[in-house]
Amino acid sequence: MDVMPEDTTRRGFLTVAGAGAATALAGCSSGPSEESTATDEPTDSTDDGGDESAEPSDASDDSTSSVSNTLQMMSPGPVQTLDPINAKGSGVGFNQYGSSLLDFPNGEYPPEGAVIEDYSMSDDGLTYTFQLKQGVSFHDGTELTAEDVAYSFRRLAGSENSRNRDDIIGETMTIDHEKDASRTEPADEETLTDYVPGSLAVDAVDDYTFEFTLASPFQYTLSQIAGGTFAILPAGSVGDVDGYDGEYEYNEFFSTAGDGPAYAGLGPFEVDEWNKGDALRLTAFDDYYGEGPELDGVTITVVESANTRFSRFQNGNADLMQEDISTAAFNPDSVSIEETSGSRSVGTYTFDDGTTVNYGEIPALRTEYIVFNCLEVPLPVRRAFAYAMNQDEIAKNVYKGTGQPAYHMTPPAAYPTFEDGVGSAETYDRHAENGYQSVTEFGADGYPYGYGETLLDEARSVMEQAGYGENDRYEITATTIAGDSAYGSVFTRLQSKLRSAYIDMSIEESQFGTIISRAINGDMEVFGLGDGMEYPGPQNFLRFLWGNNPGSQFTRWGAEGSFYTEEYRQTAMDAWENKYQPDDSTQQSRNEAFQTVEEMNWASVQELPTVNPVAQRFWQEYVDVEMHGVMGNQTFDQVTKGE
Amino acid sequence: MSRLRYIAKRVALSVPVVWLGTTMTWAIIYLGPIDPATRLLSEGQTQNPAAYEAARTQLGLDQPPLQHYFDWMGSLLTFDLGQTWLLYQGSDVNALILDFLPRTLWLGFWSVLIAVCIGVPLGFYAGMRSNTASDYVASMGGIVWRAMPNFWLGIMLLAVLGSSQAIFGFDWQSLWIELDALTGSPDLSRLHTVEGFLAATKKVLPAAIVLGSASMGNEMRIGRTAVLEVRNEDYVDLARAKGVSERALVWKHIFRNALIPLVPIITSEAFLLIGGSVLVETVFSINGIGLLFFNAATQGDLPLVGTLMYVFILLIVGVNLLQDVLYTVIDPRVGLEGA
Repeated sequence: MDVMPEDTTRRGFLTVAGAGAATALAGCSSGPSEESTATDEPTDSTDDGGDESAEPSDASDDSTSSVSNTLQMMSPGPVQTLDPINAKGSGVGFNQYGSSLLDFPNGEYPPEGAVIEDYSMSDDGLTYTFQLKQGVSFHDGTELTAEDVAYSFRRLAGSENSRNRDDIIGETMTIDHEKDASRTEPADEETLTDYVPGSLAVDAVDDYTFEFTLASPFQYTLSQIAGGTFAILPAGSVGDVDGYDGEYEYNEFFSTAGDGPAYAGLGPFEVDEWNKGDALRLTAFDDYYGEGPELDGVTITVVESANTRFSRFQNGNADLMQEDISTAAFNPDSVSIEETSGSRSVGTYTFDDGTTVNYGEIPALRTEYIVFNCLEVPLPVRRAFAYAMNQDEIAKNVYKGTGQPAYHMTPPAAYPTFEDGVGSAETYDRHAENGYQSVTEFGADGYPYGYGETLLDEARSVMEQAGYGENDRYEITATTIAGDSAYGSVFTRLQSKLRSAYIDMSIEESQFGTIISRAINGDMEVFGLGDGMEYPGPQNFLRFLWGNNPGSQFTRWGAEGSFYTEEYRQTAMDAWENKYQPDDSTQQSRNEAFQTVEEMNWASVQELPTVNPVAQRFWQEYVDVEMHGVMGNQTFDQVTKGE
Repeated sequence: MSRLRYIAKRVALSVPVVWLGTTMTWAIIYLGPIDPATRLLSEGQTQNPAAYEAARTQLGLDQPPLQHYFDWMGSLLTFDLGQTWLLYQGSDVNALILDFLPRTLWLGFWSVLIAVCIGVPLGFYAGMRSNTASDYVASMGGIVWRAMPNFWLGIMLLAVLGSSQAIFGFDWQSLWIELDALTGSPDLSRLHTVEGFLAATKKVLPAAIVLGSASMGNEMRIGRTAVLEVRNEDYVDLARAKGVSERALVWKHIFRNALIPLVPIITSEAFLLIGGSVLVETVFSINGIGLLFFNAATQGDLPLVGTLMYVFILLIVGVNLLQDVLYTVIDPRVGLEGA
């Protein structure tokens, strides 16, 4: 990395040496960010330049992909595991080889039955009963029964390999179970690992009836179990959970030990070959329970660099490209949107050489934001940041239009609604613009720190009122995620503006993992972060913002000695405790609680949203695929590939 | 002092080296700034303290450090660090290494072969024609070649090969055997077929030349000096005076004796290849041990990094040991008296 420390130098070098030059930089700097949880989405051009492996090579690739009826896809990072309970989030391939009880048709919300005929919920909202379809086969030929579902759920809750216990016995959707605090350290506290094996309230009533009981009602239960971590495997495939012997060794079933992977799921494609680090090859499964698949297979090739993925696609070596599109290569002026339905836009993209491909975009369930440590940063300084920030300009210039300016923590697609006929996105915009449906005084006029504009005078005056001035300046250190230049640019833009508001900001970089642990320890002042939602519920994010447990929140808002306003905190806590948490709360009251917390976050500026990124997809003219919906998880059983 | 005792002493001395190396690996990852648990958090869990605690418990990071250290060292001794934490989570560490090792071995094999087959003859050629124009060209070439850093050379080679059509008038990628892409891992599953063998070789060839470049230059320089030295020995003059033919003189007297200083050079360069492969594999996107190690190290995958470090350390200590032994075999004067 010492070779060319400055972006300008680096860029100049690239033009001389060809993009291959950047490869070594990648080796030293960006590295394996395949699936970092937060923010490696949009980065600006200079950083992407550092990621490349040899574009010139790909430019001369001869196309071999369009010959067969196999869909060629690319993924930024290697497929890490086939085990649903072990996987972090769900990747592209997941929906192709696995299936849960329900799925999101074309990635659209809400979920619909996949391998179930019907389901019912008890009056108290606790017990869910599912009637399974009959004659559904796993890839190994065995028939799906309720016992398989129970097995898969038990593994998720109790297997030592499970990394997603929080999804089933955690804070949000909780299937009834027992915990024994003494099972693991610390012995006086109940943690996810204290789950008592076999205590999960799931039941295979008969071969085709599956039932589970929640500990408390949860609104997004069906969305939750439609997720990839709830994918169904044949009962007893591996013996990593109490009561099952296991037909295969773990690494034989999910990895490449022995003749592996012996993985058998329910998806339209079965796993043919997994070449670690290189490619995952899937072939059509003839006994798929649904219609299709029309394709012969799907191949997911690992291409780490965003720019190389872009040129591979451009050369026709890939049929479809999504996830982490290179902002350097992407030209927003080449997009022509022909059709918009809901928040989804579909059209074409024209490359420099005149070839045209299909293009689609949809706002993702994701927000990028900066977090203040309220133990360190006083309210006037936080507000000065908010005044100085122009979300609109950031979305246009830093994210090149691949993000929408964000004024709430909740992304538009998940925003609470209050009136029939006024959708989530519209409520979002109108609330930010002019205080539509505001519930507190603070939100009455909409976003208070300048909707789509920088208010430097306001920033100065809020600082002056707090006693700061030319001779008494405030010093602050901002931390950005290393390798993500988007945050770097956001802070750099703020830095110069804040200087005139008596704030001297220095910027440091830190690895994503280090940022999280430093945030937990509370030793940063302000830092950039991003997060996504697994289902479109505002509580995903807002549960960390209503002032409860301030000692363990990143913002520390309300903690002893922190800069907080008791009135705001009380308002937020009242709303959450009285309107969201009670068992008899209604959708209306919950939405009011969400709105209140959003407005109290405006008032307190604990977290300052910057943009909501857009998910993009490119596909070749000869591929017939629907643009996915907001959930992203799409099964390619209906996708076809022509000439 | 017997040779056995000498060897036993060297083996005993390598134990603290191995211990120190593995302990440092553990300390850097476990006590260092990288927090592997944060990598386990999925969407929506980033700010959830409970999920973070669960991740720490799962990785065993909540144990007292000393206990973790002894557990870890214990399983390291038996080569059983179980499953990886972050990369290909759930895979057995050892199985994963076996998945990636062949690609690195393939690369290493060609880089050693190329270095030896080009560097040594070139050095001998220059040594036999010392202080002629061709010697100067070869010597200069050797020095320049050696001076070029691996990662830079790799980038340059890629840039040149990528636009070979414009520069040389032929397209490297489709030359002889069509490659799917310039960079990437060689396909080792078809090695037994002629075409598969050639394709896999062609794919790693640029990377192998780069990786072997430093050792190639080294071997050339040392080969030249050795030949030059041997050529001026009295026994060569004597042989020539006896009427030994020029051909027998070169091959029997000069060549064989000049090889002696080269043997330890070649063995000691074997581990340079391990270190170098990390960079070269990254540049050429070859999914080998080097890249795996790099990824594991930057993410803090302690079991994987630990096992790989352990293997590397053992390898380096082993090669050193072998080299010491070879010295005593080649030149009995070395080591025994002083030791």
